[in-house]
Amino acid sequence: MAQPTPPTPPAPAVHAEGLTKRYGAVRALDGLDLHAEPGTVLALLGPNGAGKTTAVRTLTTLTAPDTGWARIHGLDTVARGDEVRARIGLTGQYATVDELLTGRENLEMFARLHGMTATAARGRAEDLLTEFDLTDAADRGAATYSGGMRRRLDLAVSLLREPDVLFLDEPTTGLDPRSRMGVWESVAELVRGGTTVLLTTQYLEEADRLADRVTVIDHGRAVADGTPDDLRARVGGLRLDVAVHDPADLGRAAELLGGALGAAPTVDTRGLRVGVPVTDRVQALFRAARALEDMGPRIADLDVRRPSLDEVFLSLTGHATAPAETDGTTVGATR
Amino acid sequence: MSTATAPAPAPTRRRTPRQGPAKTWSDTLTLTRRNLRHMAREPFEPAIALSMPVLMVLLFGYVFGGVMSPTGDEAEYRAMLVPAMIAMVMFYGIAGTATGVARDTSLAVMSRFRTLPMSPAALLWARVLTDMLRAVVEIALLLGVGLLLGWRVESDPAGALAAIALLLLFRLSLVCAGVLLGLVVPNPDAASMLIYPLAFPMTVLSTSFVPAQAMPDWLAPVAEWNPVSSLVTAARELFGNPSLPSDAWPAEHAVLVAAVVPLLLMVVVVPLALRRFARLGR
Repeated sequence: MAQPTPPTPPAPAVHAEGLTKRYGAVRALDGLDLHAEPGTVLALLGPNGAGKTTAVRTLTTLTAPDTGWARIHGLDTVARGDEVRARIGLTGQYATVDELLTGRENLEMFARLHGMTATAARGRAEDLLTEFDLTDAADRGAATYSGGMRRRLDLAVSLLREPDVLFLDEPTTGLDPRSRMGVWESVAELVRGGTTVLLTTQYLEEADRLADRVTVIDHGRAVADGTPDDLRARVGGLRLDVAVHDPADLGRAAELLGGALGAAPTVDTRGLRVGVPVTDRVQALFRAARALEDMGPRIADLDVRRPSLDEVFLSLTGHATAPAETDGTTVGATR
Repeated sequence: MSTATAPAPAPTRRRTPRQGPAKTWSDTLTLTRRNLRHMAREPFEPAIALSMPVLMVLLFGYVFGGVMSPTGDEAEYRAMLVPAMIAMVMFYGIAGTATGVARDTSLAVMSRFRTLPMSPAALLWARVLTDMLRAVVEIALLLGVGLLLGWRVESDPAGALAAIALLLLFRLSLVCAGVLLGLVVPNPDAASMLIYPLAFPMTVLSTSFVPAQAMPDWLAPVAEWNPVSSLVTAARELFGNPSLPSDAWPAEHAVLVAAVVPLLLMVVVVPLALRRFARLGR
């Protein structure tokens, strides 16, 4: 399909500016800006209630923003909703497959609703069942599926029409580690095929693993944006970490390290660790090793590492990510 | 994997499927098929809605038949109950409609439907189509039960068809009301909880089973002006079955009332339902 006038420059796959949305007294979105180039993965990282789900609902045309605008490949989500819907796929926080239908019937039904002919729908359903390893369960009711199978079916449904932009709202919440790996592999595969993915997550590991860019959201607005490495750099560089076996040794280790490295150590009494910011990895290791030599076997571990995204998140928002509990808001259940 | 840099997908890779009446109709059929599958896999609600009125008729026809029959002829009384039984089933179906709509709009499935390039209203049309198909099947089954009970069409085929048409029109208006109800109630369970306490008195507080004269003075007009009474009376007339004696205005103009009341109900509930549906989740 040749386009009469190619847009120059090409529009971003996902672009939103100044999104606000209030539900009663709650500001779910409070001036959110988002940006994702085609073929990349953008992770929205934030605790429960940060506005991630509302952001996805807005971008997928399910809800209109109070102010601000969102565009998918240059198409406004409010004014050109039909065209947007033809280009996106959505997998919600909770699987939205029809539980009374079988996996195959689900895929065929949604394919028909996407406008495919009956024959095309059957073929596409068969392909996706194979691709997502659901062939054996294809003719069983979706209600009998395990959590991981249901999520795979849900993902398959969102991919029926090979969307340009795929939205995944907490795609692995509540999944066991093996199913989570499976979902990650599917997403990575899609991105290799050129799909743009926007995912929300409260798992920092997930953002680190999948995302090209991370937008950290808190209280309905972006508090930081960049590659996972950028975000780490923003919090600070390398840290030298020393772990001890006995809490009684923490004080001495901190004293020795502070003296050897010329920086204020932080002491983690629960993790039995002492950390010091450093600049040169090798020099720091030499100095620390020399300073701690006398403590010998009382030292459990000595390492220089980059801050984890958890620490980044903590320093950006002032609070830790919430444990993986749901707060009752889902993409689907809001009426 | 052959090229080093995969080109970003052009935004026009997906053509927008044409929307319009043809797509809405095809979506309606797709969703109707899904609804019929649901019913086949969870037949509890249709089974209850169908069996309650049948049991009522058996109870009145055989257990109370001797004392209830206005003429003392039990077989004739049972034949008279068959149109009442069908009207009851038409009424009880409203629970299925409301539950189905509440389920579709409260489940996460709704958000998937709304991110599809389809007309969301197809969900409602499919509900209406499904429940009307169900009504046709129910009427066929109940007429079969009626034949077993000794009921016959005593007029002519045209009269019988007119009676069936009135029953279906009545059902159509209740389907529309059920859609509105399903959009208003907070969850699917509430829908069925609401309906049975409503459907039972509405169908029994009528002249379906006993003549109004047998009721207390204050109750008789309620039963006489209950549209269900007019519907049952009209169906009895059109099938050529004996009727319970009544000189109330709605009974004397039963066919007219049975045709106009559903239309009036639809004029009220259809716009309300469509408005409510359009505002869902906004």
